[in-house]
Amino acid sequence: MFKRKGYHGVAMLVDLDAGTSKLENIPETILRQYIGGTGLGAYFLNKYCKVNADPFGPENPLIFVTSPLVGTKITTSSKFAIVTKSPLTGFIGDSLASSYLAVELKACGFDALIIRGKCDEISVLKIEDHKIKVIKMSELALKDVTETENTVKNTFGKQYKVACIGPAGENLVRFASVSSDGGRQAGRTGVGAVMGSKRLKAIAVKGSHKTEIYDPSKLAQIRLDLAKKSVGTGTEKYRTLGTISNVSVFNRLEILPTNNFQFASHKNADAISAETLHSQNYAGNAHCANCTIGCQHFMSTNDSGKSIKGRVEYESAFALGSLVGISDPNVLIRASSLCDQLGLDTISTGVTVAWAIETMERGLLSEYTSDHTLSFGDGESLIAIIKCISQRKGLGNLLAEGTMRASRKIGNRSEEWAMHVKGLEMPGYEPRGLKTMALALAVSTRGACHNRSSAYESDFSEKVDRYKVSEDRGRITAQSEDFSAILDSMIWCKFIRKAFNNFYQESVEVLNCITGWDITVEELIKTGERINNSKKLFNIREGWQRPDDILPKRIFQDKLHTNTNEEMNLSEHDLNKMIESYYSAREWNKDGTIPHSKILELNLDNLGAKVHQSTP
Amino acid sequence: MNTQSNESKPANNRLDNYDSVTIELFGTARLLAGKNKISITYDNPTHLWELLRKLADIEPKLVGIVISNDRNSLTKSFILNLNGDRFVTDMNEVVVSGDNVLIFSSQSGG
Repeated sequence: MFKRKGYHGVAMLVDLDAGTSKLENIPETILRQYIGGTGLGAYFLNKYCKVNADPFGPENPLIFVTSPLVGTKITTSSKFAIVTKSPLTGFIGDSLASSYLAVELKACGFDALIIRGKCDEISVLKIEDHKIKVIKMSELALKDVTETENTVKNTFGKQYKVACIGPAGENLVRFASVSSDGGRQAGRTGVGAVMGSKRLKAIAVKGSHKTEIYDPSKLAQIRLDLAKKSVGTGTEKYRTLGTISNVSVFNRLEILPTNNFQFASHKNADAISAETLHSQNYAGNAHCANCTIGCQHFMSTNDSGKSIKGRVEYESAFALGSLVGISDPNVLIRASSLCDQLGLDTISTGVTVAWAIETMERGLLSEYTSDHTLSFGDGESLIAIIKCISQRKGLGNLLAEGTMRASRKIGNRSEEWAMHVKGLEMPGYEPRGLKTMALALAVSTRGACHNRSSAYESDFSEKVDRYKVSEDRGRITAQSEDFSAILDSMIWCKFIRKAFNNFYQESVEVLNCITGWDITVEELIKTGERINNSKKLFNIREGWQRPDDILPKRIFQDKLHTNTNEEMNLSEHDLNKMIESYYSAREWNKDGTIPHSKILELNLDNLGAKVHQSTP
Repeated sequence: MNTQSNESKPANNRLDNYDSVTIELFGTARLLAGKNKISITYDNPTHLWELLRKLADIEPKLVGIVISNDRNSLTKSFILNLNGDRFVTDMNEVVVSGDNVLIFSSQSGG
C-alpha cells in the first residue's frame, strides 16, 4: 500500500462491545482535504456517527486524531483532537490538548482512533502499536485523574501515555473533560462525558512507529527557524505570564465578564491577575511535548489550608474568578485544580455555577437551599458545589446537566441569564464590548467558543470599532474561522500563530515538506473553508436551525455601563445583521443552510447528500 | 515635559499647570516597571512617540522588551490603546491632556 509521508494512512476502529479492533485505510484524498486534528475528526464524525445518535449511546464515536506534524518534533505541534457528538450541544463537539499522548498515539501506527460501543464495566483501553485490549479495572472507579493516570502507568508500565477521565466523566457530567500527561485538559464540549458513557476510564498507548518525513533536512531547518521565532516577540505573553495576563487587561477594557455577565469589570480583579499571582503564588512553569514556548505557569496556594499547586489559565480565572465574584487567588487556584482533578471543564463549571448563584439569589432554587447556599464571592460554597457537580449530588445533579438544561428545567425566565450558545457555556469575552467576537460566538458550530476562531483579534485592533457592529464582521469572522480550522487541523498550537511572518505560506511549506504534497496557499485556505462547512453539515444533519445561531437573551436585554458611564449594548437586530453578513461571506443560503453548489465546490457531497437544503 | 510617578492618583488628574497623560502598564510592562501607572506631564501637544521616549527615560528597563530600541514605538509584543476605547498604531498621533495610554500584550486571547 502506498503511504503518504507524514501519515500512517489508516484509522484504528475499536469496538468496545466486542473488544475488537480493525484498521481502515484512509484515502489520500481525504487526508489532503481534511489534514488531521479537528478537520479529519469532523470527516470521521460525519462518517461514523449515526444521524440523531444519542451522545451517550454506544453509537456515538469518540474520535482521537493526530496530524501529519505530530512525531516530527516541530515546535508546538504535539497535539491531538478529540471529536464526538457533544452531550451539551447535540452538535459537533471537539476539543484539543497538547501532550506526549499525541506523540505516542501517532507512534502506534495510525492517524485516528475511533472508539465505538460501550464497556460492561469500568475499563481501560490498552494499545500497543496495532494491538488493542480492553481491560476491566473497576478499582479505578471514581478515582481522580492523577490517581487514575498513576495507577494505569504503574499497572502497564511508565512508558505508556494515558488519557483518562475523572469522576465527573463517569457520572456523565455533560461538561466533563479528558485529562492527559499529568493534567493537560481536553476541556470543552463534554468529550469526557462521552468517554464516561462508554465506561472507558482511560486509554493507555505505547507505539514504535516513526513518522516518516518527505524532506527531513529541509524540515530540520524549518524546525530550527520556527523554534527561534517561537521565543520572539510573537509569544512574549504566553512565555512570561501566560494567558491569565488577560485578567487585568480585560478588566481595564471592561470586557471581563463578572457576576454571571451582569458586569464587565470586577472591582477586585487585580487580586486574581497574572501580575499579582506571579508575585505571590508563582511555582514554576512547564512545556508541552516538543514545545519551545512553555506557556504553562503553575501557581501554589499560600493560605493556611492544604497546599495546592496547579495551572490557572485565563479562562479558568474568569469562570472561577470574576464570573462567580471570587477575588481570593487561593480559592481560584483550589477551584481550578479541583476541576482538573475531577475532570471538569473549568469554563462550563464556572458559568453554570454563576447561573445557579444568580438564580438562587432570585429565589428560584428554593428546593435546594437547605443543602446549598451559593453567593457571589463565596469561595467555600464554590468549592463545595464543584464537588457536588462531579458527584451529581443535590443541586450538583441539576448543574451537571449544564446551563441550558438546568435553566430549562427551572424555568421562570432563568433561561434569560443562562449564558450559553447552543448549550456550550460562554468563554470570558464580553460580547457587548467585542462585536466581532459576539458574531463568532453566535455562529460557531460548537457553541459559545473562543477557540474555533480568533475573531477577538480584530476587536483588539484598529481594523474595527469594537463597540459598533458593521457589515464586514461576517467576512472577518469567516476568515478567522478558516484560519483557525487550519491551526486546529495541522495541528499548530494557537500560541505560535503570531510567530509566523506569513501563516499560510509557512504552513504550506511545512505540510509539503513533511508529506511531499504540492499544496498551495489557495488550496490550504480552501481546506479551512471545507473543514468549517463539514462541521456545519454535521450540525444541520443533527437538527441545527437558524434560531440556534443566537446569543443569550441577557446580552440583548441588559445594557452595560462602563466606568465612564457609556452604554455598552448589542441588540438582537444588530446581531442578526452581522449573522446575515456572515452567511453571505460564507456563500450560504439566507437561512444559514449550505447550498448544493457550495457542497459540490468543496467536495463535500459525500457528506452532504442528505443535508443540503433549498438553494436560494 | 515633566514627569511624575503617580500610581495612586486618579487617571484623569491634571498636575499643577501642566497637561498630563497617564500611562497604564499591564503584564510584563508592569512587572518591569514595578508600577501600574506613570503620569507624564508636559506643556506642549505631544505625539505618542515623544511620550514613549519619555517613558523610556523614566523606565529604561522597558527598552528592548516593551519599547523598541529606537525608543519611538512599541515592540511587536505590545500594543497601545487610548483610554480603553481605541487601538492605535500610528505613533504620530497626538495625545491630549487627560488621556490614558494603555500598554499591554499584543497577543490577545487565550
